[in-house]
Amino acid sequence: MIEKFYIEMIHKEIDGFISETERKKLHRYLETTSEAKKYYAQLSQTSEFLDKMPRLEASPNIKKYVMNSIDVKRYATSRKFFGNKSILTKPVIKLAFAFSLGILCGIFVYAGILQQISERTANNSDLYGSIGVIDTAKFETVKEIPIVLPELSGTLAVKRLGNNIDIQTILNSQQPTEMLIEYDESFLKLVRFTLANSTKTFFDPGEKNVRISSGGDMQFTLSFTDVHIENDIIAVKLFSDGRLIDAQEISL
Amino acid sequence: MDEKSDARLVQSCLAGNVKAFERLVEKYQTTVYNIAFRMTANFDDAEDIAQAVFIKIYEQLDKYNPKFKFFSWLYRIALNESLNARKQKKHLTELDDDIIWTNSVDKNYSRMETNERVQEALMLISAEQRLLIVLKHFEALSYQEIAFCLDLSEKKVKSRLYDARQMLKNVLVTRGMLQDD
Repeated sequence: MIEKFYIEMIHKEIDGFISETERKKLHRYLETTSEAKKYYAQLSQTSEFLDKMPRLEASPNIKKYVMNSIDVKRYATSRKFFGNKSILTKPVIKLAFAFSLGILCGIFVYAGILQQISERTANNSDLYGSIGVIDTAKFETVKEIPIVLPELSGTLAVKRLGNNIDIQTILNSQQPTEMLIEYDESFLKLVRFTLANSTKTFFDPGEKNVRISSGGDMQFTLSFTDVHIENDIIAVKLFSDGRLIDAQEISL
Repeated sequence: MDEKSDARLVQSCLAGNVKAFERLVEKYQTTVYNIAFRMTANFDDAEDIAQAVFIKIYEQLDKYNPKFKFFSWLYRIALNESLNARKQKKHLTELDDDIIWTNSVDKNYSRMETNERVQEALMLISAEQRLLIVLKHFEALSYQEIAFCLDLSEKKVKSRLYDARQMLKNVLVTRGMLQDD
């Protein structure tokens, strides 16, 4: 029968926790007790077997499976805002957080919509200059040309105030009418087209001309500014139902 | 085990860095796999257990208390998973350890590698005893670390480890692996 004290010493030695004094004492005991010596030898051999067991390599499937199985967004949301100590533990706080987040999202969405509306309604990004008012009553009539043709009738009045030139046109016709006004853009600059009646009228400005057409009557004003006042000439061509019916050069 | 490095990886993972968790898996997969294999003696089961352990760890990472060593916490989960898996399997197959292993006890020892025979012997002692041997001999944990993993006092760890080792010695003697004259 081995004393319990020495059994414990044997295990302590196997685990490497025995002191030098205890070790000497143990080995003196082992010399005198064959049963203890056998126990010691068997236990040491057992420990040796265990310590020689190979370490197995883990299958690469483990990592692959794990990384494919976990919810990668689990810690990606709330933690980023609050660090490691999550405050989102109590339901009331969670609810308040969700509510605040909802309000914030609402504000962002509303702001976005407002911005889009304002962009659609007033995109002034490419406009520049100054705003002024010209009193049309102060314009002087330079020329008033009556138009009396079988297909149409009316007047073409040229009015001027400084270097501002208005061409006021009134044409009465039962047929599709078109007026083509050609001008030298190095002398004149078209600045405005103002429709004076409610008839459907098409305004088509080209590089050196402007084309105005309608299904019948036309009342409009074309506004120019002149660059070289002494050489202002425009050519006016009138078409009725697609056919040229008159052409004139008008000195401004 | 680099505790500071583990703590940093855990912190990074909790901040949403999944790569940090991948590093933890890389670092501890061999350990967990070995524990699982020594507890089950089955490669497929060991792989399943290791996967389950890491998934559980990821899911419970926000519950991990950083005042404890990460690897101790991991060991504890790995051991529990190994024991649970074993219990489940035992329940399903309705087979006893002794039946499984005594069937292979014949005169085949000479043909078996020593390591396999030791593993067989390990399976003949109780799972609780096996746990202690795995942690002390295969994972080289201190009594204190084992005490934490198994939620036992150090004194109990020592006494149970001694019993477990003695039990294994007896099995090895019975199976002719240790001289008994």
